[in-house]
Amino acid sequence: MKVFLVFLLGMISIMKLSAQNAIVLNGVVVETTQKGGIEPIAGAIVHWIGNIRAVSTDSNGVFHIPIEAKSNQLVVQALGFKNDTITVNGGNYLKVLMISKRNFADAVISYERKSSEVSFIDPWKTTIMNEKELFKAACCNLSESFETNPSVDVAYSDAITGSKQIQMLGLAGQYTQMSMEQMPGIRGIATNFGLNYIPGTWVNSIQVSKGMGSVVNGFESISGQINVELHKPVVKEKVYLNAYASQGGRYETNLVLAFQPTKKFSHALFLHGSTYSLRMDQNKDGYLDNPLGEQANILYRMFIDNKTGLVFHASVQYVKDKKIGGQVNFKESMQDTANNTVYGTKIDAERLSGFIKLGYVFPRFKYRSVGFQANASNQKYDNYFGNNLYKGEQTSYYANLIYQDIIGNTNHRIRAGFSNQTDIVDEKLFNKQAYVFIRNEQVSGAFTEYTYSYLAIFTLVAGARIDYHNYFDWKFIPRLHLRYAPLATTVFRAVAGKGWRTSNVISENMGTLISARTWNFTNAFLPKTAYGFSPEEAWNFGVNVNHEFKLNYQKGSFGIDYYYTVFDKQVLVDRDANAQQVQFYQLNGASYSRSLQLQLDYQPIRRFDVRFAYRWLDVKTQYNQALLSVPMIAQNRWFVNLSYTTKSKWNFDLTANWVGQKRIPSTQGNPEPMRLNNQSDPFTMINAQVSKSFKKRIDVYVGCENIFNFQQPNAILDGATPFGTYFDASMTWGPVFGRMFYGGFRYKI
Amino acid sequence: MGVMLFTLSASAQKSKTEKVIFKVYGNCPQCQSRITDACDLKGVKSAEWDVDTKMMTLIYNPNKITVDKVQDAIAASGHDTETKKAPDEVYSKLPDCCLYREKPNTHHD
Repeated sequence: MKVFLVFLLGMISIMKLSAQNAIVLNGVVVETTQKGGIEPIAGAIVHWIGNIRAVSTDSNGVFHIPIEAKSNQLVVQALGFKNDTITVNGGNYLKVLMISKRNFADAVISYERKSSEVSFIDPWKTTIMNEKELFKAACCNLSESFETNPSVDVAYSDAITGSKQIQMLGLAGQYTQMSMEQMPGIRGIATNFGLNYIPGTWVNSIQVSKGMGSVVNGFESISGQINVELHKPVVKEKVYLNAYASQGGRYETNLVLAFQPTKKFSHALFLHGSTYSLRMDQNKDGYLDNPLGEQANILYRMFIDNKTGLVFHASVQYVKDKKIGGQVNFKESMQDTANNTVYGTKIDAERLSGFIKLGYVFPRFKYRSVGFQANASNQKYDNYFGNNLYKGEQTSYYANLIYQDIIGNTNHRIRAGFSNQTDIVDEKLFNKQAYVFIRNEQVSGAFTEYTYSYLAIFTLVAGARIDYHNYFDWKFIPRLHLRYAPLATTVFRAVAGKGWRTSNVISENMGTLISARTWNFTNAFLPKTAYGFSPEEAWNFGVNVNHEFKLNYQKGSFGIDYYYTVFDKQVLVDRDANAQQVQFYQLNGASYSRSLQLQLDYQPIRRFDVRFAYRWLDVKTQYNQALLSVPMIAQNRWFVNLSYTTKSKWNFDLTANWVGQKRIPSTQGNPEPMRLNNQSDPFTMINAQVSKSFKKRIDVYVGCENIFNFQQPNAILDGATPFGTYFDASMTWGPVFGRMFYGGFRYKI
Repeated sequence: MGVMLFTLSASAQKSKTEKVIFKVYGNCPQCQSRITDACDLKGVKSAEWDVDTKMMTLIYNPNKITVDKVQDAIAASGHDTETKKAPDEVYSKLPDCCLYREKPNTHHD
């Protein structure tokens, strides 16, 4: 028992259960007291006319009843009160005032309605990271926002470009479906660097869920999905200004202006400018720890809600991002592929994207709606990494039509629709030889998803979609989600399903271009394929339990989850076979990931939150030579976050991550001094931040990242001869940048 | 064994807490956080206010604080109880949606 308690106290939880209800009518039954106050009536019986299934109110007078298609007449009965029948015309909050038989001859019923968004208890295990959570880190952009989330691992692609990538379930970032406002966001050739195009201060919340998502959102999710919601113009803040500066010479400003001229129309403008201007070489390896560069980013969005059920929402964004890195004294003008003097890299990106959403909710039938969403984007890259050159352009279009209705009553809901995804990709790669890859993918599909819910206790979501791909023909995927909550505090969930995606071989492995390795494709120019490969396909199965508890009057939660992902088809990236090559070939054998995570959240003292997590991974792939652990994946990771707020709004945050050993691709083929260890060192990263809030308008923060100043030793193999045979800056398993102080403020009016 | 049980119950009595339920006037989730924040006092173990029923469930240590003191603190934050009235100047500064005296029970979207 003692051990168990210590265990509980030691752990911290990640997840907030989303405690919203299925499309259910919520209400409260009350009576007026003789004093004129209002008291709840417990044990009142509520049912629809024509349906004998009744619910009763709890000790607070609250009831939840599924909405019925056939009836809008609600009967309320309570002992000592007259029975009453109410016509419910919409909305999902009701207040029933019962008049005692003793006092009045006639019954009077008054009620009011609250219309709120169509919400339901998520059958997906979703972690919602709100602004408060995001503020715990100095997150400048999305790739840095996950430092306080144990479900998402940060991966380093190389030692030069400073880009961070994410991993879920031990699978690289491209297997996680990224969406913005529930629409395909960063994908295709932008997958790797795209996280840098969403500044952290623009973000209102992030929802992270592991395992398969809904078929409504597409076929691409395999390890999980991350959805980002930006600030909505309908919030109170009209101006939101943020500035940030770090010891590393990084300066950022963000400005969000929101306007709501009328009740029906609102719009907002988001501006971001940032620059890296200091040549820093903390580890004295002769290379910049972070590239120099600047980013300009602008986004405009608008909402129209005519209050009769029609909602329109549009957004447009433009990003220009340029980063120059390499040897400490490299300047852009020095790039010269003929003379091999100074090694430099450039990532020059430009992105234009926009989307529209149109939704209609039938005013008389709130459970029936039609939604249309479409987006378009154009992404351009003009990069070089020494003598490796890359130019890419992707134009994408996406459209999705969703119809939502119920069958009989709101216990049975259905969503169905059509979607189309078009990706026109044109890439030029020079790596020892010139490659040109052009493809035009067209995927049209239909999907349907049925949801059965029994009150707040049980939910089943069964979905399927069938898509036609112009290169790869028909693809069918089923997905199933189950949720069972025997108690209000305990939820069990299970998920199974399939996903598939086209691998963007070059952009997903851009980091390996920062090496002397030769890229080796199997059959690069096979027509009607992507780089000679067919899509990757994988099954994912998961179970999880989440339990909320109260210990010593303080709330806490505990969660365990286990996920198993197995690939039917996969494009393998083999850096082991030959230290001078990267080989790309199709999976022939087993490839899987097993992931286990425990998490405890508890508030031992008021305003002091503790989060503790442990994550275990086993990720293996059958390469040509052997079944090997996938490189650069830590089998073990421990995580602790401590957060304390004083009454006077001082915040203290501390995040510690202990990352275990990772396998490093074999360099045994190199001569002795050019070999690396087979395993990385375990390391600890500790970040801390102090912030103070003044009158809820101004937040000032200072912090320190990587307090222990851990830097990966030997981050660049043979950095002395970047144009030689053994140079490799892509064997990065830990931070390249050491201890760094930063500070900034946020101002809201 | 008997001795041990006795000690346990004695110490349980020492750190005894009491639970009371009383009404606090307010409207919306914003009111909820304001009301529960006001109960962030020494001796209060737990304070939960229900938006629908307006009932506050307070668990506290009577040796350290009285219900009266907690109600004073709630009133000082702008919310009336059955026995304490919030000062008008504090009440008038509440956001529109929280003005429970003029617009009782309106919910904030």
